[in-house]
Amino acid sequence: MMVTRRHTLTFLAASAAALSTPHVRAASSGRTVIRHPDYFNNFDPANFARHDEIITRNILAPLVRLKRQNSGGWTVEPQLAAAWNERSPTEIEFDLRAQSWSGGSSAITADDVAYSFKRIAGLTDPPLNALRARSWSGLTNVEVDDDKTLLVSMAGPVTGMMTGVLARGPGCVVSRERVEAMSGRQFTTRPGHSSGRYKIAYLDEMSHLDLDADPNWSGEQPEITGARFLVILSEQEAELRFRSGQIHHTEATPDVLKEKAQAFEEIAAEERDVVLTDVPTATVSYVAFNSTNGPLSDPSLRRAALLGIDPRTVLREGYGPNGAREATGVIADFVLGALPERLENFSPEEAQVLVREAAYFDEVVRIGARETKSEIEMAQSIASQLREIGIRTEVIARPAADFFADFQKNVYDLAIRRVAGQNLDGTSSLLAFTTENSGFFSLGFQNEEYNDIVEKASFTDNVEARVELMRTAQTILSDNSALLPIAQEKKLALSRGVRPAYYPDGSIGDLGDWLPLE
Amino acid sequence: MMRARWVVIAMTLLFATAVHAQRERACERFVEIDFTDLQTALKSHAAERAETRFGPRLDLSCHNIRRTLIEAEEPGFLRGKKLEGIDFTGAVLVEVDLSKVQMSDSLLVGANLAGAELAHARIWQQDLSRANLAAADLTGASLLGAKFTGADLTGANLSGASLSRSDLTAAWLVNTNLEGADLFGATLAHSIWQPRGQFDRGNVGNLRGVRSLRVNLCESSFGAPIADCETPVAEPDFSGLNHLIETLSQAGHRQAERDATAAREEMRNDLMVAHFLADPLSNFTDGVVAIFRRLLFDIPVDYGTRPFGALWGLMLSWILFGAAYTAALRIAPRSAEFALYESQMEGRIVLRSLRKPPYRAFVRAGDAEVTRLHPATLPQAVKHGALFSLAMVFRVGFRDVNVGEWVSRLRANKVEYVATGYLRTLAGVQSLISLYLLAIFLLTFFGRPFQ
Repeated sequence: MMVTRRHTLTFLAASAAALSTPHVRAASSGRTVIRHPDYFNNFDPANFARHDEIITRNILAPLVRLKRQNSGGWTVEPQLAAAWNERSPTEIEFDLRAQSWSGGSSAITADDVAYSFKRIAGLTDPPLNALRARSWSGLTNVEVDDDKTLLVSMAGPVTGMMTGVLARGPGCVVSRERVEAMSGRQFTTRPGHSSGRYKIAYLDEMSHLDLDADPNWSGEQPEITGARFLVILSEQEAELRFRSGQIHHTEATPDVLKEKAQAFEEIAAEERDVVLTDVPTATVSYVAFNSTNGPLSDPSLRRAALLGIDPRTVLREGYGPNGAREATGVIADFVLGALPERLENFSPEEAQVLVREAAYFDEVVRIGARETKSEIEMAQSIASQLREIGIRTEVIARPAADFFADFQKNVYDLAIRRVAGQNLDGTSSLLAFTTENSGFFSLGFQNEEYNDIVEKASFTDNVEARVELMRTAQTILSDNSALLPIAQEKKLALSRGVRPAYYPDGSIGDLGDWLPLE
Repeated sequence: MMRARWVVIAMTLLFATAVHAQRERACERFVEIDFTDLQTALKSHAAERAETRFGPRLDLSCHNIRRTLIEAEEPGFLRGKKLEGIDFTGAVLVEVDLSKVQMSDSLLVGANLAGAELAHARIWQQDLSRANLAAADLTGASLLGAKFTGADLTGANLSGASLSRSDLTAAWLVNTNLEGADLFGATLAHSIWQPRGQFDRGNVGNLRGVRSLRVNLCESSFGAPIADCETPVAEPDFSGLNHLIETLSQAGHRQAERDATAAREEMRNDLMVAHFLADPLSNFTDGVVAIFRRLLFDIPVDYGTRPFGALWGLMLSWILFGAAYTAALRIAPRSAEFALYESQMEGRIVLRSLRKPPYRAFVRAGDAEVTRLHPATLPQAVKHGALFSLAMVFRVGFRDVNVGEWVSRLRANKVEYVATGYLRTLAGVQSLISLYLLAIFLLTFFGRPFQ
């Protein structure tokens, strides 16, 4: 064979290319790294832990989901359901769309859905004592017509159920076959099959969780194809990791907002692709007054305490200048039933008069708070204001578990507490103060008239009438000096390269609704 | 040379994977311990150790110490304690006050010490492999000989800390404050090096593993090997590495300085390639430059860390091209295009014009005997091929300094090989390569062309 000039040059060029072949290849998938503020505990819709609901909703889909509109409003969108029909105020009929479990082994059926709801409600035999049973407490039956149709029947009206239960963790669907095979018919972090837009790629409960978009998902496809939830307990660690680009999303909860707000704003100002999101939540912090025990069981002294506390000062001390909005009532301002303005006006002069008139013999008023910096500062602010009107005080700051135990035992005379609205209807917030829940959210407040009005509001279809009833209920709370609303909480979120989604109550939205930042 | 190169690449990827997976499972579940039980256990263990000096370690592995101390409202319980022979593997010590503790014969493998107070702690030769020390305060801590393999020191404050002879292999030093830290004899192999703060030139002696230092090159997944990265960073943070290079240069640690420079240059190259692969059209220039940098600077001299690599390259070129010439003489001796001509004149010194090329002078003078080479045997072909290749390797010179001329004078006969046809092209390429290799050797041996 004749070796030509072309052969020589080709050989030399090929040699050069081979030697310079870079040890870099085209990319595999990158994950959006999200801070998870606690260890992974429980993803079961019946028992999920507070921070784990985001995982539950991503791996186990509910029938419907909430989607924010460009206008700022919310719509209920189908997720596993194809369509639904509210047959009556207490009944909804659902048609399911075709969707298989992860792995494509079998289809999700109406029987799976019915089992999921009834299991949480305690309607299965034997009943499951689910942590989230309250969410489905009104469920009377789920009737399965065929593989794709079911009828959900409630004892009460279903108004808030769509947004407050069905679209959230307790509305997520599990595989009946897999769960029934599990010990105790429940699971913690391994659901077996997933019904959601994502599936678990890797999980170390103490360290991190990797989610990948499930190729079996036949609904609307998510834009974030993979995410890593990284356990970071320390706020400082989260901030530093975000600064150095190791995580793409972190949040400052109201507890730390006062300290972190400035740092977050600085980071957002420094970096081009970082988005700072101000997330309003439906959580309202308030001061609960003990109306059954201790010195504040005297209505005059209780009223004096209520008028002697300036909520704006307390808000500033607890959350900082821009850390929260002033609350008008126990319902957040973007939720149906919110009061246009607060019912109590700070009046230390009137408070002092009431203290003098009350049968008060210098007993110490015990102010309970969780052992967080913001609540301690709020409690101290309340204590100093009450001292100014002549009431002796003592601040008792306890770790969260001890605080809630003491709260239920009615140990405190006054305590800082929060109520989180679960949906876009204020009745869920008002339900917290009925006699049934006395001791969970109020320090012994019981009022039949209030109970009746809240029940009536729940059953009223007419929106205007319902709003009026909800406002009346809040007036009763104020007139009885049961509580003093302080702040409507918010969160700050820092995101790099992604635009996160949120639920109306401020909880983190489904990953499938997150968008990459262009 | 190439083999070693790929071993380095493989090792880099291996360690990078180790770093990436550094938060792999340390504990199946955490163990809760009551504060009183913790107190009692520590006391009795200390008493036992005082008696026996050595003994079994107290097992606090996977214990959630943080929760114990918070619930007992005793955040400072461990402050200043002497913690001898305690196994804290996988324990949760997040934001726990461990300042001024004295640890010996203890294990902290995979412990979560994020935000922990460890100021002025004495943790000599303890194993902190895969520990999470993000945002931990280690100001003035004495960490001599401690093992931080795969540890995460993101945002940790190590100002004034002594890390002498510590092992920081595959550790993450991102936004880590190293102001005044002593790194003498520390091993930094495969660590992500993006610290801040100025360190003294007296504190960087005898550093090891500098050649494999890394910075984050991946936007989409921090610390991920560039090979697995979806979106590479636009501008990597080389400030920490530049400061190290500068400090090493001032301190006169020449080889370490060259290694750090090479690490930086290699990452630059990797990044150019990654940009090219991500978007070939927009980053075409990056791709071309990366190939040239790799051919010209990486392969021959590893960006200055191995100047003698160029000389090995010359030898390789002599052998490879020699083989090619031998093959040409043997396989296609009749082909005019692949013939070598030998111009030879025995026993005489020829006067020739300095303005003319030598072989032309011979011909023109009529003194030269120009013959076409037809080696009869393979050894003869090898001899001629090797000699011609050697002549081409050293065909460099300037005025009186002519290496090829000097080499040719080593022979008894005045012989000049003349290539024709495409063999001449090949010889030209060899000469150019040789010239470059000699030049890069001189540049990198005597200078710092990449700094």
